[in-house]
Amino acid sequence: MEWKQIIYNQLRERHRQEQDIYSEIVKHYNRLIENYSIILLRCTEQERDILSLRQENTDLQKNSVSVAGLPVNDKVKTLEHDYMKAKDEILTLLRERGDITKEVISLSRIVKERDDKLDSEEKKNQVLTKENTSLKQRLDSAEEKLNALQRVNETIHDEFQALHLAYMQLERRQQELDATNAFLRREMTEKLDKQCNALDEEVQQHQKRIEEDVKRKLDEAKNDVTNSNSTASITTPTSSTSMFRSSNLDGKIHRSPASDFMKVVVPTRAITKWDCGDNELHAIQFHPSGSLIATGGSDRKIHIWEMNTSNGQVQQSYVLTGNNSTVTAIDFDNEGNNLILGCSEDFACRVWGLADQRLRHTLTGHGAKVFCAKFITASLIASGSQDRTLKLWDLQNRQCVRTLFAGSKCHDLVAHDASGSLISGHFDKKIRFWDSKNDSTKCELQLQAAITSLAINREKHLLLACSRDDTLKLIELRENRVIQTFSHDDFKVTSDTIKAVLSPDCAYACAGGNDGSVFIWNTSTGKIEKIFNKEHSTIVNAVAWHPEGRFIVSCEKQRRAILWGE
Amino acid sequence: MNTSPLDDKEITRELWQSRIPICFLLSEEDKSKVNRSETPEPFYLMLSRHLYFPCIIDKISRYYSTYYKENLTDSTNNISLHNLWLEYESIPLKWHYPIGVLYDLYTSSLSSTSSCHLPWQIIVHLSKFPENELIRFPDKETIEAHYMTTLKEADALKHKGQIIGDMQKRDHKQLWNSLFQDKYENFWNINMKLMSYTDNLQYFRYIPFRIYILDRVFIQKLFSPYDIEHDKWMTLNDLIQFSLNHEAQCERLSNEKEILNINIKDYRIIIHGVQPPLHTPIQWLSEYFSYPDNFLHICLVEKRM
Repeated sequence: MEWKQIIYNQLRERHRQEQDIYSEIVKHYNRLIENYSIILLRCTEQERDILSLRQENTDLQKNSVSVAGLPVNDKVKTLEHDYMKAKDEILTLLRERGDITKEVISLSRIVKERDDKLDSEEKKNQVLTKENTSLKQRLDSAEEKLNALQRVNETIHDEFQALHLAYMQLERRQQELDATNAFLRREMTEKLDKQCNALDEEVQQHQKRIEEDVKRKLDEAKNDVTNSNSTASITTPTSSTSMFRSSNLDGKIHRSPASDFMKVVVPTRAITKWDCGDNELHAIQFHPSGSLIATGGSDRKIHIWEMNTSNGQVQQSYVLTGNNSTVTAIDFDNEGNNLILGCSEDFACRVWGLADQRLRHTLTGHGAKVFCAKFITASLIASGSQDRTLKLWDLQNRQCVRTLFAGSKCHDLVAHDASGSLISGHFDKKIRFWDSKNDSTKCELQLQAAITSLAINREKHLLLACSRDDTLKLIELRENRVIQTFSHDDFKVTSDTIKAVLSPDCAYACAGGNDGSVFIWNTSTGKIEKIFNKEHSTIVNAVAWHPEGRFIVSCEKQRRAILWGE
Repeated sequence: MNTSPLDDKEITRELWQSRIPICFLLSEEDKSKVNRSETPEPFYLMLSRHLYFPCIIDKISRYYSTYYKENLTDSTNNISLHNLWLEYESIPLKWHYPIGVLYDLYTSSLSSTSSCHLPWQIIVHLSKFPENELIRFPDKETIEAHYMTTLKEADALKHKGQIIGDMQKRDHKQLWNSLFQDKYENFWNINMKLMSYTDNLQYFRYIPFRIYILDRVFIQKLFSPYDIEHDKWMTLNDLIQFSLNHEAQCERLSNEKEILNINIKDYRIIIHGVQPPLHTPIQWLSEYFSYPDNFLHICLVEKRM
């Protein structure tokens, strides 16, 4: 390993040469340099101090020398001058500074204003953009709605087309059906015509036979019987001598009797008493055949009672409903169509068919209670009401054909003839005779008090009027004057609807009184014939005479109806 | 290598403590532009051989800044610390060589006598920076990076870079800081790891070395310290012979005009300022005689006739 030793020795030698000699010297040298630089620094400082001191010294010397000297004054003046100039400059500079600051303030204000404007503009802009978006949304929604509606429209259109086609089809079918219908109708009418013709012929033949029969019987009767009531002339065969045959549902046949069966007898006693309805009775009427009695009252129903003419027993047959209020008057048609007319306080008159008990017609049009209604013909009805009018109704058209303005409540009316001329009795004490051709009164008859009822005889020349002055007046129609007045001390007329009737041969007049008595007067003598005062307890509203003359039926307010006979 | 560790430690300690006295003189033209009435005195420093000049640049600039207080920022005169460069006998000194290397290379070759140029007189220039020949003095971080790069290169040659790669950054930092702050123990604690063997070898894979000849680019070759064929340790002589031959061959191949003189006897071989015997094993030299960057910097100086 001598190489190592050699290396080591060399290193030591190097160290000695390079380092040992110089390290100390360099160290000391550096220290000297440092000291030198420090001293240099101090020296320069001191030189500066010396300079400044010298300067001060010279200044002071100068000052001390030139206290009183002119050059000093000049110096002072110049100094003062300089000083003033400096002051002025300072002032101007300050003023300039003030101006500049003012400008700065104004400019800053302007800037602020601009900023504010900008803010407001931005806000407006935001608002507008918001509006814009909302409008766009609305537009979108509106467009959607529009599309939807268009679609719906299309579907509806399509449906319409389909329906139209269906309708066309149905129309065509209907036309075909109409054609077949018309054809069938024609055939049917032809058949009916044939049937009617056949029936007519049969009827005519039948009529002829009956006429011959009746003529025979009349001839016989003429020989036997002396009829005191000659005025009961044989009227036209169409009303009393004709016999009609119509079948009921219960199989009974009601015929209107011939006049020679009529035998008017003043009843002597009450045969039957019965209660009808639930409330007061206002109207009672005999069927022209004499076998039915109809009553009507405030129970709103018309009760039909069957009467056995032989023994006078009465039993309920059926009830006609349909009225909405109290029945004020009942009338049967006397042409044999078996219609019954009832008028009530519900402002309407109703016609039922007796055969099928069906309500045939309801005649409305009056403005107040209908007090009375009568058949003029089987198809023409006259009614009078509290609304001061009389109306004529056509049953075929079911219309009111004429309205007569009476000017006062009509309490009762009778038909003068079949053409439609009427006689009506009114609240204003007048009896009016109406012309069938025009709507005015032919003539008027003034009485002493309000007229409550009218009754006309079969020959249509005697009129019985019951008025509120407790009298009955018999009026001759050819001369239009009162020929008889019937009254009695106990006979009081206290209601506006008391009904008085003539007997079928006009020999007697009958009316009910306030206290429940029924009065019968003789028309020729004018004297009271009979008074029934024990049976009724309340006011007797209406009376009716049997067409054959043997019975009277009366109804009182307290539901009781009494059949009087002998 | 089985050597007595005591001797080795002494040698490495000796190497660590090596210093060179250097005298910094301000250049004549810069002297004329001094701001003060006094001209700057020469500046003496004892510098370690294995340091680099940029390590002391702060001291130099501080010293001269007092003389050039106002002028330093004046660009018309070109006086500035930015333009600082060092020169020896009109050779601009490269800053990335260790100071010892520069000293050995230039003083030994240029002067006739061997040891009468101490203190080493270096001229400090503050203007007219030679842009063509030098790069400007860097800051401390750059010099540290250069040192680390050299260290990694050495380790790559020695152990394929394994050891330096396994070391933590803390150790890297410690290497440089202990070098900079002149702490022998801290340095050699870590440098020991770099001198160990890997791959089951008893030697380094290749020896990291550089051969410096005046007016030439340095020579660096791949050289293994152990001859496996002949089973013997390679010596310094072998290394230098091999390198010179190889270099001359390269020059011939590239048709250089002047071919290298490959006769070793014409050269003086200087490492760390000493001439180690030629039969010194190269492995030992690499382990204990390297510079702190683990390289053997060998200066070949032609003997004067």
